[in-house]
Parts: sequence; structure tokens; C-alpha cells
Amino acid sequence: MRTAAETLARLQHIFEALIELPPGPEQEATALRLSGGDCEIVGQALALAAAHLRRELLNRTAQQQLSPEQESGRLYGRYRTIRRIGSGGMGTVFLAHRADGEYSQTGALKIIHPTLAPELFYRRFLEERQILATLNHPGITKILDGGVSESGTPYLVMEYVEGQPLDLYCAHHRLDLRARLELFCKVAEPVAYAHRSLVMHRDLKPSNILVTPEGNPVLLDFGTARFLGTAAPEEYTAFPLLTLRYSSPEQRSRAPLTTATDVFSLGVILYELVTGHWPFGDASSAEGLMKSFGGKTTMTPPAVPGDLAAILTKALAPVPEDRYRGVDAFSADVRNYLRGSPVNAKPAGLVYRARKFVGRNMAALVLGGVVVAALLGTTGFALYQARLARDSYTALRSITTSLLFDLKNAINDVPGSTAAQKILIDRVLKNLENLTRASTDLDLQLQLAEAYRQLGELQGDPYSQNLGDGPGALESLAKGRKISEAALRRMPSDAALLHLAGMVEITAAETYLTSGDGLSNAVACAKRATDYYQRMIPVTKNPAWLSDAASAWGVFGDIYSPSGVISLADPAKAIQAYRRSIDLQTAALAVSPASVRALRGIAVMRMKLGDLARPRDPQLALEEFRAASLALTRVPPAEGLSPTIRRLHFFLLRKTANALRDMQDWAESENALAQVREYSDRQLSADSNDQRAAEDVAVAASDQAYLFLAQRKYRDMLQPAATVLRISEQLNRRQPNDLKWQLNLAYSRVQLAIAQYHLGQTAIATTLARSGVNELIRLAELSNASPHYLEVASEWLVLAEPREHSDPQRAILYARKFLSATRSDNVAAQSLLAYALQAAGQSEEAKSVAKTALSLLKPTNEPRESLMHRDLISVALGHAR
Amino acid sequence: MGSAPSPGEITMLLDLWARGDAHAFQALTPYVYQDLRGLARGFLRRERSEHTLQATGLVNELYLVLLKGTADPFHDRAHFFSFAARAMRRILVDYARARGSEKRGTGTPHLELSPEMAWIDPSGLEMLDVDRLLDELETLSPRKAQAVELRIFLGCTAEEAAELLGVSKPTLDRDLRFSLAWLAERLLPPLES
Repeated sequence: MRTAAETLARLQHIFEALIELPPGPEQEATALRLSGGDCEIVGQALALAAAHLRRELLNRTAQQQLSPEQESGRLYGRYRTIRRIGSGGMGTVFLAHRADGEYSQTGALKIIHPTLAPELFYRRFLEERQILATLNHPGITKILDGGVSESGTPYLVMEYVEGQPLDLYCAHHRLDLRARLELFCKVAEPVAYAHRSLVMHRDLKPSNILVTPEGNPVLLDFGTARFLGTAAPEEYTAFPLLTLRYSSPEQRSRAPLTTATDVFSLGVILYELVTGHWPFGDASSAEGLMKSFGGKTTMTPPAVPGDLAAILTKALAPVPEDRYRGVDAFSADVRNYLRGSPVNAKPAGLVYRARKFVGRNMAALVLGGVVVAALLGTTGFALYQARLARDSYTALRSITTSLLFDLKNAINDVPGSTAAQKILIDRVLKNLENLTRASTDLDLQLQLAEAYRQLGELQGDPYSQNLGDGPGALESLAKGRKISEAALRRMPSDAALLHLAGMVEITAAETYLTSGDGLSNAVACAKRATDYYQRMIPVTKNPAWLSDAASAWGVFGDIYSPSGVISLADPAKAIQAYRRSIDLQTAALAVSPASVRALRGIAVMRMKLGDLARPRDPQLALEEFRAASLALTRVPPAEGLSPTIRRLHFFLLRKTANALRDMQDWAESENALAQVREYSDRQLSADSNDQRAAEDVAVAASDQAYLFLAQRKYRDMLQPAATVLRISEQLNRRQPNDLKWQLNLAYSRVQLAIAQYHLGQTAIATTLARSGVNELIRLAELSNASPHYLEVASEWLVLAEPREHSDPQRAILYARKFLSATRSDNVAAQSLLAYALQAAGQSEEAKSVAKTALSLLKPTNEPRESLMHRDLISVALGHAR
Repeated sequence: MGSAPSPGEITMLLDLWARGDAHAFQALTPYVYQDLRGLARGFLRRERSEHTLQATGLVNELYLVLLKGTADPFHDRAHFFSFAARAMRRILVDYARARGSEKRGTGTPHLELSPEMAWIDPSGLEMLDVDRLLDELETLSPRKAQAVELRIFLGCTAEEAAELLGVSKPTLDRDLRFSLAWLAERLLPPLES
């Protein structure tokens, strides 16, 4: 047994050798060799050597700050330094005047010095320049100039801000609570802006927030800022210059940082602003500080009103996932409090989020345990492996955490800043590649494949306009596929691997589908996904995985659905896939009876089955829609009240109403549509800018108008038809290039014209019908018009009144085009053609097409036949519709 | 920062501090710290040239403070300086603690450590961590902890510290380098479990 002193001497001996070497494999090998297999010493020596390096870096800077030739009066580009006004984590700041006599400008000039690792410093400095250049906000210091001086020192000139630190400002101006909260909301604005530009500050504290004499806060010192997700592991340990008082638990534990870190720091700042104390007890005791880190935070309940306390509690949650999703949400809640509105900082939805987090990170958490176990092992080699694993694990966590928590939000919310996003994605890719090379560990491989899949999903996401990078997404997914296939060869019936492989394929299928080409590839991927899931289903009872498999069959069904990819339309295959999907969700429900996802999945699949059935068999469609609604009623009450579920419920009710209309059950249909209208009108009146609500109102009103038209109730038709027209005009103004709203505007004119005409308003009707019909023709003739445009145009060109504005000849043309773009057994297309032919007076041909269409309809014994049935029989018999 | 207190005021403050008045200490430290450093180093220099210890005015008071802090008289000059270095550390820790519990933003003066430790804000709470870690290091190797105290807190040169500790200068340098790395590694401890 060695004494502590002997151990320390040995440690020092190894340490001396290590600091002669650059960090990396050579250093680690030397440590192993010198330790003679003492794993504990290897770990300590490596850690010390790393600490030595970062201390040296900091020292060099600190010493050079003091060296006299840097002191002042030197020229950097067009600026001359006047006096030193401070030193930050990586450089010295001077007051500087513009010296070229062009115009008078004062700036804060920041320099760094080439040190032990010049490239590291230089890169960080350039990064700060890059960060500041991408940020343009009155609450963030602007960059005035930057470059490299004659002596080779990189420098940066920023706007010089005259002001007081936030806490001093509040104290000097004796701000009351309300004024402090209002000021805090202003502080949050530039932070939120930076986050939207994918930059986090990471060192927010009152002294970094100056308040100008006009009362406007300005953020300083982006010296420790980062583009989200770009922190490589060796770098974020290299600069421990955090102000402990405002640092988050994850900063203290050197875990990957997200925007939630800034939320935490702002939380501490707000807490101090409103209470005058540090939230975690006695800031002066080391114990107090240590207690607040590592998730054991016990916040002293602030002596403030309950809602404000709830806000602070949420912002200061030890686990980043439990905090506000963003600074915007945080300050919005403070504003809620100021207004006296209810705050969102209540634990609602917490369980859901926690579950999501655990599910997402389960493998990582387990892997963490493995690493700890390995660290306790006895051989140096085990330690070496473990260190590698731990490094990889850290890097990996930084990827998955940033990716999931920040990236998605940021990218979904932010138009623009494409360059930053590109940098981000490149960094993540690079990290992933390093990790793939470094590791053979199965769990890690699993994580990597999943990371690649998520990256692919993000790159290919059609809803984020900036990132619609299909080829990049497919490349990432191919890497994920390669890893998961290799792992599957080792463990062919591992449920987790099969699930992952299936997820990779289904993501690829969706990417191929949304990118519009590579249809056969999409089918192949979806096929592979379902093959993997077939193998997975017998060996798992995991409800989430069963639901994932169900979604895969759902995608398969969409591919074959006639409303999906027209060229592949195969209703029989689609129905089969949707039914399989429902079976799997039912199996998931057997394990987890209240699974919202499974219930929702069943509802959506039933709805799609209903859509498929509706033209041929509205009765069956009605049953499917009712089954879908029934599944939704089983959603637990708390979740059932969620906006998504409620919206789906009314969506289904509208579909039910349309099926009822098809069945000529007028009263029931009117009643259902009235409910849908009431709901969607209410949504729209709650927020008149809510575009989705506006669309919902327009769609429901359009169905109402159509229902009344079928009954020739022209007076009832007037209100809904006018509503559709009004909303279409609004949305068309808002998005003049969106063809969808041009189409809606066009047919809603024709619709309203019919009602007006029958109510004797011939002049208005003529104007509306003329412009509507012309628009429909223009849109149908567009080279990129989808078959849906042909369908709508054909229908309304037949129905248009006054009659002289209808255009049956063109309607025939469009109906034929529509038919040729879809399958010949598409009964809706056949009937459309029949009506157009009849309207054009070509009754023999109309009769023949109508008979074909009738043969496609399900023979009915119902006392009440379907609307289409009735109309087609009229045409077949040569009667008017 | 207000105007510097007069020597008489300093004496009074020192007395108050000795009786446990933290406020007195807080008001005193910024001035005492720099002077004490200069004083101790001056001692060293003068001692080298004149072989005498001269104490007048402020210096006298501070010397008394140092004396009050120990039961035994200093038995040799190395003992005196190691005690002075320890006293510097104590002063900084007390100052950091006092400053931390005080309401923020009243403009307490900023202290600067030796360049080797410039990455630590000695007026900040990190100082409390440094203190705790130095205690720990001392149990492993008293000499290494002393090297930090002499070089960083008292501001001795490497030669002076080496002489006081009775080692060669390269050994002193190595000890200090190791101790600083040891501290740096622990100042942001990784999350346990």
C-alpha cells in the first residue's frame, strides 16, 4: 500500500512527462506506459495535464493583458486604443477612437494574443466575430470593425456602450417590482433574438448587461458565446471562466449546453432582481454553491406572489428539459404575470415531457452507467477504453441534446440564418463521423444510428424551408442504415435494433416522398421498414415501438392511397396497410391502454379508410368516421382537451357531415357542420391572425355552402359562401403566390354567384361568376396544376350560374385530363365527366359514362341512396340532375 | 471606492476586525492586502540587505495583527513568511466570503492575484473553493500547498519561495506547476454518479 505522498509523487512524475506532449492518443499511451497499469493514476494524470493546458492558456492571456506594450495608444486598423477598460475570458478590452479622421467614432476594442494553442484562440475569436456579425439587434453590441493588426494581433471593435450594470441600475433608480420585471423582459429580447439566430450567450450576468441612461439594456461579451451545438468536447472544458453565481448545473458539470442554460442564468438574474438574494441559499459559502450544482438544487422559495414564484421555479429547474422551452416563453410568462393573466409555469404536461426525455435518452443513461462501471475496473486498458467511451459519450450527448432540444426548435422557428444552420449541421456531421470511427460499442452504435436518423429527419424536413436538403438527409440516413445493418448482422433479432433500422427506413421513405422524386426508392424503403417491423413485432411489447411500426404501415398506405401518389394508386393495398396499422396500434393499446398516440393513430387510420371508401360507399365511410371519433373519445380527459386532439375531433365531425350529405341525410349533416363552424369560428375569433383557424373556418363554410346548394336552399347558402370568399380573399392577400388560395378564391366566387343569381341579384352574380370562371380556367391551364385543380375547375365550370358563364366544353376537357391522371376506376372522376358531358348536351356519351360510374359504386339496398348514386342515375336515364 | 482611510482609522478597523467585526474587515482588506504584500516582500528585500525587521506605522499595525494570530512567536524567518502567506490567504478568503454575503453591486474594490492565478477572481466565490482545495492539497503535500501560498498569495519570486522552502528553484517551479494544475482540474469538478 502506497502512502498518499508516494502516490502524489508518482502522479507528478507522470504529469511532468504528459505536459511535454500534445493532448491525444500519444499522451494517453504515455500515461498508460508510465503508470504500469495503475488505472486510477492514468485518469488523474491525464485530467491534470488537460487542466494544465487550459490554465496555461488562461495565464498567457492574463499576463499579456498586463504587458505594457499592449496598454494603450497602439493602432489597430483605423482605431487607436485610449485606455484599458477591462479584461475578459480571452482578451483585453480597450476604449478606442477611430484614428483615420473620417469621422469621430468611439469603440470598445478587444484583442487576443496568440498563445500556446493559437489556432484554438484564433478560431474562437473568429467565431465571436462571426457570431456578432450575424446578430443585428439594438440590444446587442454591434461590431464596427475587425481584422489583424500589423503585429499580427487579431482585434475586434465593438460599439462602446455607456451604461450601468443591470443590478446597479435597478438599485440606483430604486426601481419597483413592476419596473424591474418590465426591464427584465427587455433584457430577454436580445437573448431570445440571439437564440433564434442559433447563438447562446452562456455567460449572462448583471455585469454583462448594461442599461443605457434611456433605460435600454444592451448585452455585452459574446466571448463565451457559441453557435448552438458547435462545442467540441475539448473546447468547452478549456474555458472555466464562468461566473459560478449565474452558471447552470449543466455548466458546472460540463454537460452539453443548450439555450436552457441562458434561461437558467436569466432565472438567477430575475430572482436576484426581485428578491435581492441568490436563489440557492448562501452565495458566500462554498457548500451553498456546490449544493446548487449537480441537480440537487434546492431553491429558496422566493417571498413573492405565487405565480411569480412559479415562473422562477420553472426557469431555475435543475434539469434543462424542465425549464422554459425558450427565453421567449420565459419573458412571455413574466408579461402574463404583469398583465395579471394566468402563467404557464404550472406543471401541466410535465409528465409527458419527462416521459419523452427519458424515452429519448434511455440508452444514453444506461450507457452512462456502463462508463461509470468501467471506470471502476482494474486494468489500465479498461480505463483507456472507458475514457474513450466517456469522451464519445459526452460528444454524443452534446449532439443528441443539442439536436433535439435546440436545433429543431430553432430551425422550425427561424426563417433565415441558413449559413448558421449549415455550420451547425456540418459540425454535427463531423462529430458523428469521428464517433463512428472511434467506437465499436454496440450501445454507442445504436445511439449513432439514431443520431444520424434524427439528423436526416431534420435535413429532409419539408416544413423547414431553409433545411429542405433532401440529398444531405439521404446521405445521413444511409450512414445510419449502414451502422444499424452492421449491428443487426451481429444481433439479428434484437428488438431495439430492428426498431431503429425500421425508423431509419421510414424516415428515408418520407424523405423520398416529400422530395417528389425517387418514388420507387420510397416504396423500397417503406417495404424494408415494414420487413424490419415484421421481425420486431414478435419480440417486443414496447407500445411506443408498436406505434412506430403502425406509423410505418400508415406511410405505406399513404403511398398507395389514390389521394397520395396518383401513379401508384391502389386502394386495395392502401386499405390493407391501414388495417394493419390499426391492428398494431390496437396491440400497443393492449399494453398501454391510455396511449394517446395509439388512439390518435387509430382515429387517423379509420379516417383514411373512410376517405378511401367515401366515393363508392358513403355508408361505410360514415362507419369508419364514427369509429375514428369513438377512438378519440377514449383519450384520457387531460390529453383530450389538448388543442390537437380537439381539432382532430372536429376534423372528423366535418368528414362525418360530408358522408351524411352523400347519404342525403341533410338534417344530420347540417347539424354536424354547424358544430364544426361554431368551433372553428371560436378559434378564429380568439386569434384573428391564426391562419390555420381561418382555413378551418373556410373549409367548414365551403362544405356548408355545398350542402345547401345540393338542397337548392340558396338563401341558407349565402352566408357560408360569403364567408369562404371573404377568408379566401384575406389569405390570398397574405400569400399572393399560394396557388391553393387562388383556387379557393376562384371557386368561392362561382359558389356565391350561384346563390346570388337564384336570389335575384343577377348583376352581382354575373360579375362574380365571370371572374371566378376565368380564374378557374387560368389555374387549370397552369402547367404545374395538380389533378385536384382540374377536378375543382371541371366541377364548378359545370355548376356555374348564370348559365352563360358555365363552360361545359372545358369542363369535359378538364374531367378527361383528371381521369387520365388518376385510375379509370375512380368513380369521382367518372361521375365528373358524366356531369360535364350531360351539361354540354352530349347525352349519349354522358349516359354511357354514368353507367360505367354506377357499375363502380357499391350496389345499395339502403332506402336512402347516396347523392352520387341519385345524380348518376339521373344522368344515365337522360334526366336533368 | 472612497478615499483611503488614514493610518489611525486603519488601526481602529484592525482592532474591530480582531474582535470579529466582518464589516471592518471588508472596509480594510483592499488597502491592507496590497500593503501587506508589499510589506512582506519589503521585509524580504530589506532583510537581505539590512538583516533587520523595521516596522513603523501601518506596517507596525499589520505586524501586530500577524502576531495576534499566533500563539507562539515565530521561531525562524521561514516560519514567519509561511505564516504571512497563510495570513494572506485567510484575508482573501474572509474578504471573498464577506463580499459574497453582502448585497451585490455596491462597488466593492476588485483585487488582483498574481498573474499565475489571474484566471481566478480572488474577490469572488471561487476563492472559497481555492481555500478548500488548498486544505486538501496540504494533507497530501504540505510543501506544494505552501508553494502556492508563497508564490500566489504573498507574491514571492520563485527564488525567494525556493529559498524559504529549502528546495531548488526547478523543484519549486515543478511543484507550483503541478499544484496549479491540480487546482485547475478541481475548480470545475465533473458531475459525480
